[in-house]
Amino acid sequence: MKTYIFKFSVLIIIFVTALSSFNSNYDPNCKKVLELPSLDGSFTNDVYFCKNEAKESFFYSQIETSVCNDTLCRIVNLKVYWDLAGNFKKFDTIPGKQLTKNDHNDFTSADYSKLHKTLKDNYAVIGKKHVGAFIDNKQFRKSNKIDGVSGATKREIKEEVVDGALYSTHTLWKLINGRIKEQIKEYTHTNYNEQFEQQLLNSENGSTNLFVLQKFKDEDYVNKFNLVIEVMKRKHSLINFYISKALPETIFKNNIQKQQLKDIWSYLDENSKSVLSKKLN
Amino acid sequence: MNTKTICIKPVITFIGILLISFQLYSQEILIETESFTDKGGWVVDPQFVEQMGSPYLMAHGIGKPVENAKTTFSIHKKGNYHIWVRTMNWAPGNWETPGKFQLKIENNTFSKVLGTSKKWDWEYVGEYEFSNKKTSIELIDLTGFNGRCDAIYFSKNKITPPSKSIELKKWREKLTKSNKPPKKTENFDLVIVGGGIAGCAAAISAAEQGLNVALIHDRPVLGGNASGEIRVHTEGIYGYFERILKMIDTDHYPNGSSEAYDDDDKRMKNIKSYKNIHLFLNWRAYDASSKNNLIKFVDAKHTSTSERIRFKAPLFVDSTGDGWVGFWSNANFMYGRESKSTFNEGWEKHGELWSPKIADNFVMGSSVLWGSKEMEFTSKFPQVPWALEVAKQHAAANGEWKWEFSRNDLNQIDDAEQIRDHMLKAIFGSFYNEKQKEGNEKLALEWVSYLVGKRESRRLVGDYIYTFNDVKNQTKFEDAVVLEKRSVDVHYQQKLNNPEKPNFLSEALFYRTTGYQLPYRSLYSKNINNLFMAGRDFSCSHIGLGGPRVMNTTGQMGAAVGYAASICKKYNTNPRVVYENHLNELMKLVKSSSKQKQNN
Repeated sequence: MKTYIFKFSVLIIIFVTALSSFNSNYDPNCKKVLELPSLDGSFTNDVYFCKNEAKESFFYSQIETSVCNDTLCRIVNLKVYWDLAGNFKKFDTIPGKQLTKNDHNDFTSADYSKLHKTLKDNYAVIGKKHVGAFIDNKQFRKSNKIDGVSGATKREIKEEVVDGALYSTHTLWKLINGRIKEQIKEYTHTNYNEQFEQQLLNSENGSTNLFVLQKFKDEDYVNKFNLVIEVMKRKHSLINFYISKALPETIFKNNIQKQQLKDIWSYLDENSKSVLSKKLN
Repeated sequence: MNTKTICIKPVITFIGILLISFQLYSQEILIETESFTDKGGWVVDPQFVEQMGSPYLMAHGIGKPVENAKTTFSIHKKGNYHIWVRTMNWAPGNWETPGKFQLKIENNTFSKVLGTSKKWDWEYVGEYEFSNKKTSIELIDLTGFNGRCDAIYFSKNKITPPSKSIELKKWREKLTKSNKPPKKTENFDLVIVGGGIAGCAAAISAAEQGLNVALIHDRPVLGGNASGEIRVHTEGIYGYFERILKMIDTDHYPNGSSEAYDDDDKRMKNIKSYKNIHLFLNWRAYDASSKNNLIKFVDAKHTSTSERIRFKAPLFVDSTGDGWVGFWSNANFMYGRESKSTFNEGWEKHGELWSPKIADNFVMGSSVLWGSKEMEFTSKFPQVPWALEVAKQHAAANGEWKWEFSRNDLNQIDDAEQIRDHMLKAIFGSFYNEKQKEGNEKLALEWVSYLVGKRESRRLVGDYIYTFNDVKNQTKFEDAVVLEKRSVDVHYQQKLNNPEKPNFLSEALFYRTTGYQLPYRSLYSKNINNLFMAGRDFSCSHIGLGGPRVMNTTGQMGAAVGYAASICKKYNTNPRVVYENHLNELMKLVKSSSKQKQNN
């Protein structure tokens, strides 16, 4: 009987996997363009580029990855989306493959929100070091489960890590914000067009805006100044500081454009203001 | 007009001026508060002399009013005097001034509350009838929140002293008779300005080679950022100089720990054990003069007594951190973040946070460390609306290296007081928020530094400019006197990348490496021929500074230049010629450093 149940389970898994694979390729607007290997090399995930004339183009992958501590591994599945600049956009859980914590409890909606926020942070502390650096050995408690050291997670990353999911968070962050970002950027760069540019500038993500701004020449700032102003209104300090330094002299000879800058003064940080003040005066 | 009148008129004018001068002299008195004989709980703050004109007294009571500062002085002419104090409200706004104080003369306390000017300026206190020639004066702190008083001025005439810095400087110099060169001159083989780890190491290695060394430092304790006053632990490896650096380094205590005091004692004891290191503590260098690309002297003033000395030597070391000796002597220097194309230092992974496409002044910031602890009994902390302007909702019980502030429009030297005050607001506000949490009733501030721990400001230009590429390429130098393994570690303000973060917290970007070398040629000035530099003002790019800026590494720089100075003396030559003609001798000395013994 046990053997029968096992065989049946395997068939079900194969069927579900095949179905999900079929779904991945079902959208005719999507095509496989890259591969994303798991950190330990056990899995290779296809990365699709989906072009949508009416909506935003994006990249996605149905990630399957192992999450391991020193002795144990488990499999984590997640559907992940990136924008054209390789910045993480969002994830979807896969039915039947909810994320769990060390105590085998499912992630709560608050846990998913926290994970989303951390994965979206390009400079999250968790991405900087080996996972072992975040374990407080003074408080270490043994566990026979992955992520079982949650109680010993160092204070410095408590804000970033879902309690009981240190290893999962670390693995997912490294995978999603790792080399794949550069590969996506490269793909976008190679296939760059007007529509891409518009979409990149309209993004709420400052790093995504920066990707296109770095391609700008002086005349682009002049010709697309209204778009630039819209970007500046999003109050991203790093981007506004970059734009403030990069705006060409021509802008400051044009009274209308000067006034546009003055009109968005309240959106700007001190660093940007310091640069623009000199140019405006 | 006859000839007689023409001759007499200038004479009368001259006599008139002389009389007025004499009258002024006899009818006005300027008391520099740093010269108070009993400073009570007030501290001498000499950090911003170049910007606001003088060391000053500050009531750094971390929320509790400090004891009165007192002194006595003599009035040349009894009678009625008008009184002013030079002060500043360091947190102006729609709230009670945080740093308030009053003035007391003899047994009379003036009702006027002082410390309200929006910038450094004279505040009128009132009039006082002096009936005794010798009299006493006190500063009464009312808040414990960093009220500050630079000077007190008495005059029979109600004429407010000048406010503008240039006029004030001239006026002050005239009144204190400090517009002439110092009367006292001292001669040495080597003058080192700055007693941080780099300056101490330079003093030791030079003294061990028999040089007569002056070590000038503007604080009462040595160590700079590593001292018990700032409390950053020393990091980096020892390179060739383990023996020397272990005399002056620190344990790896948490930044801000009072364990720093133990290392202060060790450092002081070791430096004092060298008879040929002449230690000038509480002396702040304020000028240097160069002629034909050679520094002739450095002038320094005592931070309390205002006594002045001219220091002469054939060789000088700039270990001031801010590159002051180089600046005064017209040495070439750099400030700010170079564009990534300047030295080809871009790193795609971190883009603008690492090295910008267009150069700017957004250097690594300054830190003010602090901490609190649980007391036995409930403790109160006052409301600090002026601090919440900066801290906003942020709550914290202590502050480590991430408590750091930099802004493109604030110069880490010229605006250092504003930067320090911003950090004080961040600290007091964040602690106030922490205190409001349930369970923190017994939490009390234990220690807050009032000295800014700087990371980056001026970098003097040497024969070699050290850059990120030397780390990436692991450049091998024949004159490699400093060795390091530490990651290149460059900071940025968190808010720059995340608008939700406070503007006083930073984050670090690391470029990991297995090791790198620094050349001797980055430790002496390119255009001032007798100037060494050791410390964060050595010759490097903004990113090049990222790795070697920590104190064991800067200590290595100091030890190396101390040895180089001894070779300069031996051959009566300059730092560049040591590289050109005596490099083998220098490297031999450097590499045998740990085997040598203290010879005094």
